[in-house]
Amino acid sequence: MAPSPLLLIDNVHRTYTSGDTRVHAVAGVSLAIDAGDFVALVGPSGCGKSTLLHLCGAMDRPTSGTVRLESVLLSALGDDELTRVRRERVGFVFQFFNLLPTLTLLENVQLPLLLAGRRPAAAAPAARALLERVGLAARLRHYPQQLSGGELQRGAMARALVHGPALLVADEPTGNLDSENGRLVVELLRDLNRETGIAVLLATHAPEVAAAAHRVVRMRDGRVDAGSRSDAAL
Amino acid sequence: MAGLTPAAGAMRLFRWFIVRRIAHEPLRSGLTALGIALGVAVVVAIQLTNASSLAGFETALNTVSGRTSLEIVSAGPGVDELRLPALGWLRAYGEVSPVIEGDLVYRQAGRPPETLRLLGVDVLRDQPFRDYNLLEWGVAPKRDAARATSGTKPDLRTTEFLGLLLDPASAIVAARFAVPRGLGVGATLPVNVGDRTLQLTIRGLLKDEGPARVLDGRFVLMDIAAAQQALDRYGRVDRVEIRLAPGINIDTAETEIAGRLPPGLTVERPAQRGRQVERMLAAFHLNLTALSYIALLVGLFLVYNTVSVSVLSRRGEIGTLRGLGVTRGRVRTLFLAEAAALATIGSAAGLLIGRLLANATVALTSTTVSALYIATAAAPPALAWQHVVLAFATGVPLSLLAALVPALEASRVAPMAAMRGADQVEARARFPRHSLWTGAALLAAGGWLATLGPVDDLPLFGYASAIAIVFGASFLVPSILFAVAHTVEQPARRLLNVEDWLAVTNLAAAVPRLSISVAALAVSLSMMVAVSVMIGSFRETVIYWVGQTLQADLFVSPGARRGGGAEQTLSPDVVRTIAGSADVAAIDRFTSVEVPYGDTRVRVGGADFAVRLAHGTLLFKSPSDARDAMRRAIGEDAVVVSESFVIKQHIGVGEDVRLPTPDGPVPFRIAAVYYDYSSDRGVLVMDRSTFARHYGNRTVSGLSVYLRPGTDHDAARQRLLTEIGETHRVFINTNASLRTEVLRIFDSTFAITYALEIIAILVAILGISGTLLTLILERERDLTVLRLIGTDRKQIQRMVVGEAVLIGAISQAVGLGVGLLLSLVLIYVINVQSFGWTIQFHLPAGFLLQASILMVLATALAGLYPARRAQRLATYSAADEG
Repeated sequence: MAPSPLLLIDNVHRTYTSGDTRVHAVAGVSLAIDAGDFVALVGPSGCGKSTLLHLCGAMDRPTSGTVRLESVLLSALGDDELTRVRRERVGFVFQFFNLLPTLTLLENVQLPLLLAGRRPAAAAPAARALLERVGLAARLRHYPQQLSGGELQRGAMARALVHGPALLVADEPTGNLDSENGRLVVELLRDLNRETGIAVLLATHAPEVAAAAHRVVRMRDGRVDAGSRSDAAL
Repeated sequence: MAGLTPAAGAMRLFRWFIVRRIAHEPLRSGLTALGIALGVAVVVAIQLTNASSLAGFETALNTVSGRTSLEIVSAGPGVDELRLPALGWLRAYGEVSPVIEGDLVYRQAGRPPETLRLLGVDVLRDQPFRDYNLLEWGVAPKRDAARATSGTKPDLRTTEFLGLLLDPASAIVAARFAVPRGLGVGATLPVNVGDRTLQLTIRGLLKDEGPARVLDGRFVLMDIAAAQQALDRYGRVDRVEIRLAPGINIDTAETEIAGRLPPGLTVERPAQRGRQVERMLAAFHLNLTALSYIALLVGLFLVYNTVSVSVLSRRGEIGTLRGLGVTRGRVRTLFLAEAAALATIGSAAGLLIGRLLANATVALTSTTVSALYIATAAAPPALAWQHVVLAFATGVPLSLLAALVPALEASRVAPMAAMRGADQVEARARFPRHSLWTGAALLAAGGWLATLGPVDDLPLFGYASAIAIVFGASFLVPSILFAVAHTVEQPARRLLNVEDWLAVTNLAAAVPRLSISVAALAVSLSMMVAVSVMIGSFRETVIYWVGQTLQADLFVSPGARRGGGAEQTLSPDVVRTIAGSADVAAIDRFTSVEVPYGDTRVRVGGADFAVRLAHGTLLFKSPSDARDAMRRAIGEDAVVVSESFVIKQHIGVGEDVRLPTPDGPVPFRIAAVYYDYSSDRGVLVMDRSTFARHYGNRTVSGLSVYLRPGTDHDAARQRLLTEIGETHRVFINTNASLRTEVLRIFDSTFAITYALEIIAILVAILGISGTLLTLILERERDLTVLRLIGTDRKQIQRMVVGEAVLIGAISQAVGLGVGLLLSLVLIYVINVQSFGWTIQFHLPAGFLLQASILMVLATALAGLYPARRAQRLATYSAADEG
């Protein structure tokens, strides 16, 4: 019997209601991602990429359908349990980096470990090691305002990985970077995926970013385009 | 807005952008308006309260004075009737009429004792001075059945009016007083004067006009001879009133009359008494007014918060408006208009709340005013246009001032950055060097101002010093916050939970935003601390003073004293009975009169110095051999004076003080100065024989009784009451019960202070809640990120509440420090210059500790709502919305 996929999405719908209007952000998507996968979600703005990422990352619950991460049925979990899943099994990278401005880079990266109950003395070496890995050893004591966009995004990736998640969810991680920094971030993502075996699910508009993925999933109007699941040539 | 005039366009923008928002967030808008309303209410209430204590007197003065232009008065016990014939020449200036005034105490079951103002007039001569309009009247048929008459016609002839008052027990009272108490014409009106009870008969009810408006209608009119009898002041009148004939210049007349009057009599205008009383109350009123503005000041911080929240939560909208071509000026005006709208609602509500609050504040202060100063009306005056002006003229402009900073911030919003939300990330705060120096300079100025003397007997520099300290400390708050946050940040990371550590780091980043709110809370807390330390010190000083000076075993006062003022006296037979009692070793009789001194009024007393030296003691301030000095003063023209007199009159031991007496001014040497906390008015005490020589053998107003050794106080008290019998109404306090009573009065005096402080602190806590809300809105994106990386709702709540606790603790610490500084200014500067009391510093440590714990708990509670908002705000969409 084949091992079950890391993430299994089955006929998921997500509908938002705003006044009298109902928006079907995700309308019947099914998708499976295995450990070590690198999947790119592409499609025009408003096609439902971000909503699908939220559902996969335990940030949101579907209106119908099921989402399983490591066989855990996310759609049945309460808020506290979803929080625990995010704290332990998922890492996030955003377009606008979203490092906390009140903390140094090292503190930002330690934070997920501290939230999970690790002692500062134990959290600091792990965070430092990851920051060294992403090339920010010289920036540990800097605050986010003192860092460049590329540095911020690499720092955000370190924060997303420090607690050893199984799935990294990245929403337009290069959307706010110049092409050189964007390229560096994509390379880093690919390297980390290869080195750690973490599954990566990223949403992007950029073809060169999508090209780095093992698989590209195209979305339109909340659905996956038929025949879009292609394995990218590596 | 095409086609609209600029004004109409602005109006529409205001409706769409501000009015809808205010309506959309009723809680936040309501809380802000409530904050302003409370601040304005306290100011209005205190103005009404101050007005009420003066209004009672001024109405009495004005209505009783009627058309009097000048009056002849004598220092002390009043004008001797025997001198009146020699004043016949006064008639050349106009109408002349003698008058006597005094207080009666009316007791009705179920009601507190009420003071009635008795006016005794010579009915035949009084008509040109005052109008009495009778609502109803009737003469007792038994006295003169043939001429028995009654009716309701108001235009009674003088002779008929005279007929009503023929009987010495006849009185005419105000209908406004009589009707609600079920008293009508023919009814008996039992009243106390001194220790006696009189049964007056009501012969007429006065309309609510003229003198009948005195003290809310608590007015009794009698014939002058009957009034002298009732007040036990035979042969004396209080003053001779003059109504100048048409064409006579008042200045000329006053000068001429002053030149012809014999020694001991002076001519003055009725308003002069009003000015003296106003002056007497000035320091008391100024203190209350200063306190009332604290609540308003704190309320303004709320406005700042609210407009800040409004600006922050709508940066995107502002950006859009700016993008659509709305000018910076228009954006600024919009947010100022929001403050103006809330301030208008708040001020209007404050006016009404103030009127209601005034009932409570008048009740809280009238005991003090009546006990220490003058009989006063029990109800605040009605709201007048000047109170409306006061409410809006303080509420609206000050709110606009408070809103100016956030409104300017709104106008500086860059359109594109705001629409993208990119400008919300708060930079780490830098050390606020400028505010540190400003704060230090202000504190230094505060220290210097505290060394300056009073201005016109008011501690204006003392208040300026307090204000400089308060603002100095406020400017130091950013530095303190910065220092605390940065000092505890690393230890917090090692020692505290991650949520608490995050709270500390948030604090460090939010220093500029938090400073104003922390300063507001710290200021109101510092006032609370200062006032507590001052009152605590004062209380300890009074306890010590009472312990030292209340040496007698029993204290006897007239039954009408409570509510009837210090002029009430004991009957000679009561004094004889007590002096002759087998239990009694010695008595110290105290007699006093109130005399004008400079531009105020002081109390001159006569006491048995020999008895006091043998049995009791005073707590002397100077000279070192004060007891010998007091002994030498027996029989001499010498006085021992209260500390407040020497401080206010800038005079000292060995100097002469010229006091007015019925025979003209007499110099008295100051033999010694003693501590006295019973009154802030000057008290000068001379030996009883000296007093009798200058002011006559006046009846006694109080007795200190020394019992024979081994006598049980309570038993002796009972025996004395039995011996005195039912005919006299006296209060006999034992030493222990009087001590309790002194502290009860002390505590009631300061109840108002605490009430005002609590309002200020409530408003400040609302402010903290508002500030936290501002910070939460600013950090919406960060909160979302925290949620995404695994922070659960409880951790978010704990973080925000932790921040609130931290803010509360820092505010309380700053408040304690500043409060202690302020208490020094209050005790050693403001209090001495206002009231002339030396207070020993005493730290009420237990109270301050309890208050600190309560404060931190209260701020934690204030953090709960923002914490809930924070939990709700952390939605998953915010972090990735560009």
